[in-house]
Amino acid sequence: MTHYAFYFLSFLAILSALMVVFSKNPIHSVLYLVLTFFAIAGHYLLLNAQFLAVVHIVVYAGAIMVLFLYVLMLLNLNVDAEPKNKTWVKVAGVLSGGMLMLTLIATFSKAETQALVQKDPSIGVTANLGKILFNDFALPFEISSILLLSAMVGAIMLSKKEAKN
Amino acid sequence: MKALLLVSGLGFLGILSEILNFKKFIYKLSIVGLLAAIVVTFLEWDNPTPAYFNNMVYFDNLAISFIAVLLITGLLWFLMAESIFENDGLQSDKSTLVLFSIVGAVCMVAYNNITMLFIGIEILSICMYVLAGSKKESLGSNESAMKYFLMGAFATGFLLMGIAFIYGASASFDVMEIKAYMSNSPQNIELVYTGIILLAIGLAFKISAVPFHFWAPDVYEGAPIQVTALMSTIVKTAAIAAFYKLFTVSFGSQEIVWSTTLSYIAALSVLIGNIIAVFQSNVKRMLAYSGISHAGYLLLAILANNAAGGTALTYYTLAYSVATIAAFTVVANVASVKGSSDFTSFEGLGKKNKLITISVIVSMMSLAGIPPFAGFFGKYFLFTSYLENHSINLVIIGLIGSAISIYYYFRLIVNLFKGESDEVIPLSLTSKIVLIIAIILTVAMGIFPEIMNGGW
Repeated sequence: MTHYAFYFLSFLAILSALMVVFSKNPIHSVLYLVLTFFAIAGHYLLLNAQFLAVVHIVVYAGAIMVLFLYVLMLLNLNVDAEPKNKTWVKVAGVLSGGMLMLTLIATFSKAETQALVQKDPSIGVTANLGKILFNDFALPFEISSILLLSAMVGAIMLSKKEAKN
Repeated sequence: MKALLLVSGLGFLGILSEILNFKKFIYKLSIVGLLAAIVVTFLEWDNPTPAYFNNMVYFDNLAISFIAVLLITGLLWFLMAESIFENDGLQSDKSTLVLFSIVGAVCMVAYNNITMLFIGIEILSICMYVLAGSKKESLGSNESAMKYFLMGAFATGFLLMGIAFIYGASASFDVMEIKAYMSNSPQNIELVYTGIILLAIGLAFKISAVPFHFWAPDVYEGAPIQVTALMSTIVKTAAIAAFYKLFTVSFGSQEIVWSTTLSYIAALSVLIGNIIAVFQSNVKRMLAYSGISHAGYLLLAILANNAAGGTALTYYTLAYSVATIAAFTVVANVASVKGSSDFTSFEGLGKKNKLITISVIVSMMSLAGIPPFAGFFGKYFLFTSYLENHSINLVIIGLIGSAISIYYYFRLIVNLFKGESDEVIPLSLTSKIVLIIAIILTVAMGIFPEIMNGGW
């Protein structure tokens, strides 16, 4: 059963990721990206990471993509206005992307996989995640508040009107 | 650890000053706070219990000396950048962002867990993206922020993917546990190979080494001069320290995987950075390319893969940061009078501006690596640490690079004495203090190189 779910979700994720790149209309791209995120959230569920799956949907599919759609609508980018890239840029992109893909395929084909979930069924469960986050990873958890705070201060600073003028 | 808390607290104070209306004092408070942080850092020397928070951060002597370098640079930077803290309604935001970026940098040099490294890099980068665009009415500043953000986000992707690969193989974020995993015939070593290269790409971007340097000249030129000074000192020091720790401690036993790639990156950075710098007509761009070539020299310390490399790195980063801050102080003052930072703006200033002339000569000679200034011993320590267990090829490339660099560094000095001009560039008190401290530090480090070297 999980096998079929895995193949279905992978197929959906790859197909919609390709559609993100190939669709002409940016709005369609964003919608396909939402679909990709849902498929990946399904993968997280298969890996027993419920918290990650929910957060992934809430943050990426919910917040970020809605923001994206708003920006697209405000900038009125739903017309096909993508600038044409030069040929050598395309060739270089395909070459370097293909090389990275080759490396990744070679890496994963050699890697020995073992099912983590079967080893420890409680792995990835929200309660355990919380315990680890507030015990072992307390400092990174707190320091990330500085990260968010500096992002907020930056956003406010860039949007503030100049006092001088 | 106390320095980390102190600087974070200063950052929060910056935000509070907005609410409680003491924005006027925030500049002075930041300077006093940084001074206190430097003192507190040195008090932690030879810390008997260097690990904090379940080994998340590790304040050994190497980390403490890097933190000292960062804080001294930060203090000098605050003194040189007085003009951007004028009362324009944004000064508390700017000081908060700068202080938080120092917090990020401290996390990057004292981390013992890759999650801390990642969060540190992100704090530093996000503050820098915003600061690069802090001159809102200038198109160049906006362009620089946008470019830096897009390229930086892309590089972060590589870094994160590398971390994922390393975690996938070793099942740990802890630097020491990864080291233990690496040293006894690891399982799934192929994942590690890919992970190491991806991490190297992400970190090489942050130190702007060739071929990941294309953002640097544009970003450095567009950003406000003071922010450029911050980017080319603190960001580079923190990134190279993180790079050194990760590669020599965690991946030290797998040297064979990364040493060839990093050697090419180092050689290309030294050569391309120096050669392109020769053709620049703008001092800011020249310093950007010189920063690229210095990234190449700094990589030699990682390639050395020994303890002497770390010592050499602290010495070199301090020498480089101090000389760069002095150079940018002069450029900022000249550009604010002349309106541009081209080489031609400096013509004839040698007659009437004694302090500017001396600091340009000292900082340029130090950057070029001419004895008896600090830069010479920086390069000397780097080369000797590298030669301890490697062949001489890369050192020869480094020396060729230094020879090329003399041309463009001296071009600035020659420009000072070219033509007739009676113009006097007014220097504020803080600028004078920065220049005098920088001259004294550069000369003293050059005359007594063993003070830094005999610490541990």
